[in-house]
Amino acid sequence: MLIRDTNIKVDRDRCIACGICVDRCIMDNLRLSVSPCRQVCPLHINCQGFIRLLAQGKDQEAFEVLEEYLPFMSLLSLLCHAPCEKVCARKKVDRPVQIRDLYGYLFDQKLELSQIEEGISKNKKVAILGSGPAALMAEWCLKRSGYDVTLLERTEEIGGSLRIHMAESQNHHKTIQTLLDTIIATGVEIKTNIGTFDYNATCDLYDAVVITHQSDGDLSRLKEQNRLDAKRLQPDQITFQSADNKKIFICKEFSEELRLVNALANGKTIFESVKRFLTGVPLGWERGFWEAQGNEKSYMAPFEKAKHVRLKNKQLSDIGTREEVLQEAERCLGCGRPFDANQTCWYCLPCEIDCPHSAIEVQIPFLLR
Amino acid sequence: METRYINSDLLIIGGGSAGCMAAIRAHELNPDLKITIFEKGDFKYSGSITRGMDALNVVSIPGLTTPELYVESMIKECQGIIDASPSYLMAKRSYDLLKKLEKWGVYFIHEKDGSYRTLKIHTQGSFLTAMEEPDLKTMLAQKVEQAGVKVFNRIMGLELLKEDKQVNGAVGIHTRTGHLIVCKAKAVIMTAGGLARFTLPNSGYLYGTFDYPGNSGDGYTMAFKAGACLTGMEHTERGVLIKDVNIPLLAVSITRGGKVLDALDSVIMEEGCSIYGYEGMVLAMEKGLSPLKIRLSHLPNEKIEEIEQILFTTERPIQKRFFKNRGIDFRKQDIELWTTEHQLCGGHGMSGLYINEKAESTVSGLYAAGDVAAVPKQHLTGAFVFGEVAAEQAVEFVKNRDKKIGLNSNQVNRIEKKRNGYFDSSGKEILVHELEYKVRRVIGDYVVSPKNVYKLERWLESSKTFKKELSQQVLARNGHELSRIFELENIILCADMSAKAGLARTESRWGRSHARVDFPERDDVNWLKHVLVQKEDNSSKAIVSYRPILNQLK
Repeated sequence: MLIRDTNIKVDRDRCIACGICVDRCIMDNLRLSVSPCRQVCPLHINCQGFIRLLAQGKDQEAFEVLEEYLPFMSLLSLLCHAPCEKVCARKKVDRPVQIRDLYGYLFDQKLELSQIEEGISKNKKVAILGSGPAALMAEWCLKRSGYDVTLLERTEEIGGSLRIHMAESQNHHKTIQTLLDTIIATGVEIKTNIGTFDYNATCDLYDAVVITHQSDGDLSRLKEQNRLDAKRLQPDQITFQSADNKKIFICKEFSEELRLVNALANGKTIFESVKRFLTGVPLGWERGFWEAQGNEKSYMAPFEKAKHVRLKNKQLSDIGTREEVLQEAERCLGCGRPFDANQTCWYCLPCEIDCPHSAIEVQIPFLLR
Repeated sequence: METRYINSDLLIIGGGSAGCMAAIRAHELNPDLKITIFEKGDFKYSGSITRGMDALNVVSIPGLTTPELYVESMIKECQGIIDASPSYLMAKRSYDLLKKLEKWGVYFIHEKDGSYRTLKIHTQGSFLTAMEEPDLKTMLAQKVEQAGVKVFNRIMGLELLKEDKQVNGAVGIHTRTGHLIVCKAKAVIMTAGGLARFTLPNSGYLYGTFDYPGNSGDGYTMAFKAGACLTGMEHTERGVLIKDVNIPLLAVSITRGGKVLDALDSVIMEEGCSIYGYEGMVLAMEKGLSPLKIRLSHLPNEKIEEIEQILFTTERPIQKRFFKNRGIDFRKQDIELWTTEHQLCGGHGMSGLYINEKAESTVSGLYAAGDVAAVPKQHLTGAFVFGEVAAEQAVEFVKNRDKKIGLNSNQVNRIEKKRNGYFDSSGKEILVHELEYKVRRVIGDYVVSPKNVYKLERWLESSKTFKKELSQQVLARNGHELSRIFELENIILCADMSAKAGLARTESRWGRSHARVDFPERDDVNWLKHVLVQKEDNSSKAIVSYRPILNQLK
């Protein structure tokens, strides 16, 4: 379905399709048409958003779009299988935007967040069994929200399957080590060489327990050690909460079958579930990226050329200089955008006021103009 | 579709001005209380005061006015149909409220001598106190969030849960997905607003209403279905606002020297008049002297700038763009006024839940504040004061009710079944906004003044057809349209209540708010009483009863 602009005017050059306006609308009028790259990303990273800012030379702001995933950015630029590039709409013109390389560039800038929000301590303890990417992502998010987290690792060092990748190259080693150092610096309690994981005792000690496992072998060992039957550890498909004990959350780690970015997404899911569990919000409420969040995939913006889009093709494979980065970023078509899906505007302005990039202009609806 | 269950001590339905104040006050009194808010829009800006406000409408400042004078003035404005105690209490607590808001950082304008700037809009006394706070709602929302209150956004209240004559919580629906949420609670404060989408605005744009168009009478119908009494539903009020865009400016401009003229330039209203004197304006329009106009061009430039500053920054700043589009400069051109849609509202008008000075409704465990409650012309002050009063009473009520509360699962099942029925699109072809247009047009034809028996009864007949069309012909293609169907159901039910009450009051009162051509005179001998509407036990029929006016101050 095509989008028709009525009284909400979107400046496609400024808009980064972040969706804040969609959240703020008090008449449930606005929806966000989500760009293909963001649709397919398991983490739903706003690629369009950071690339548009990058193209405008706003590196710092671009960096802050990615704030939620920060320590994992360099990891993604190395190891992500980049499903975003496979669906990039720019393919229809020439070739997809090299999203992963732009990621890498941004991370190499060594920028820092202008404001770091410290979560106020919630006085709740969460144990995480395992320390691979899903566990680390859950840890990072929980810690930032003020929960006390303990990582329980069977082996000598944290990192899980990431350790295998460390051997691949110097660069891999450095990147993964930096990530692990960042995680350690959050002040997380780390227990390595835990030996046998005592299921019941851990449940008694902590307010919530997260089990991440790499292979089915991990899981069967866990079952054997604690004499649990398979049914007890069956997690909910959406929330990962175990059917047996509401305190337990189980998800699969990054492994041969599971891609890194999916594992990180699992970590985010676990975080959301644990947070809800500990604050008493229904776990299944408003879950998922689509309907409840006001995101749409069936509506697509017409192919519209924003001022910043560079249409001329220049063969590039290596992004090195800043000039090359800007040129590559300018190739993004900016597919995602908010639009007035329901035409129930009361011209009350919160969408416009809260837009961080002044990209929205509310006009008087046509019938009243 | 799954239904989610939550538990709470106190449930507040509606996160606008009254709802926020209730949550803040309840948390102040008992920080351990589990408080939940159902908010239909997004909490940060939602409600009728989306952003801010230019005045705290009623403040009785010691030494300047008294609560007694306010009640006297209100009895005149409401032509006697008003209980004295709630209005008295509101005026009595208004000054402390102002001080509290000021402590929170709300900006009130002071005169050179340090006193508050007050303006006169009532027949007696300067009760309107000037305020300039474009961030009022965001400030309140922040306070509520700091208090750890759980706010569920995009939840429209559908029905109150009830067992053994007690309100036990409510069922809400997600306006995007159509999922249900069931909240068990020991007490409920209803702050869901009035009915802004009653008749059509003259622009024909369904959401171009004066009041927040999300207010679709949800609170009225939820309370009605739970057996509560509503009063003043026959008071179908209609504002005189900026033509087409339906934004208010009367109070701001008249109190600062503006004049209302008719088409032949005779002055109809000026500084010092009561802004409730719509009558003169409506009469002029009926005589064909429309459009009425507001003239500011005779004022000194700094006065005009002051008016512009208020109009373009606080309540509805969009009007700056409206005037710019039309090429209207207050220094040269007049501003056209027009009558617009009718609404049912406890804050501007006098329709809503019948409450006493304790904000108690007629059902145990249900309290009400703001536009949903009938404290006539209480405006923002009333929303705040009764938000606080309701919280105080509800906290006390919760304390004395600590036994486990039950859940009427039959009720939840019934609502689920109804929702699924609306969502089943087979054989349906009408879009919900088409039926809404038709319903609101016909309400304008039959339910509002000039009223007569034939018209009001005709509505009650049409309403049966509309209800059938709503369940059998109207499509819900997504969660949004589903919630619009529930809203429309509420609009129709409110019109039924209004028609029933209008039929009962066989006299004319409040000018065009209730004009019966078959009973054109005001009859103080027989009709100085409330007309109450409530649901008949074990049926869904609305029945009318009467209650005497309580003049005694408590």
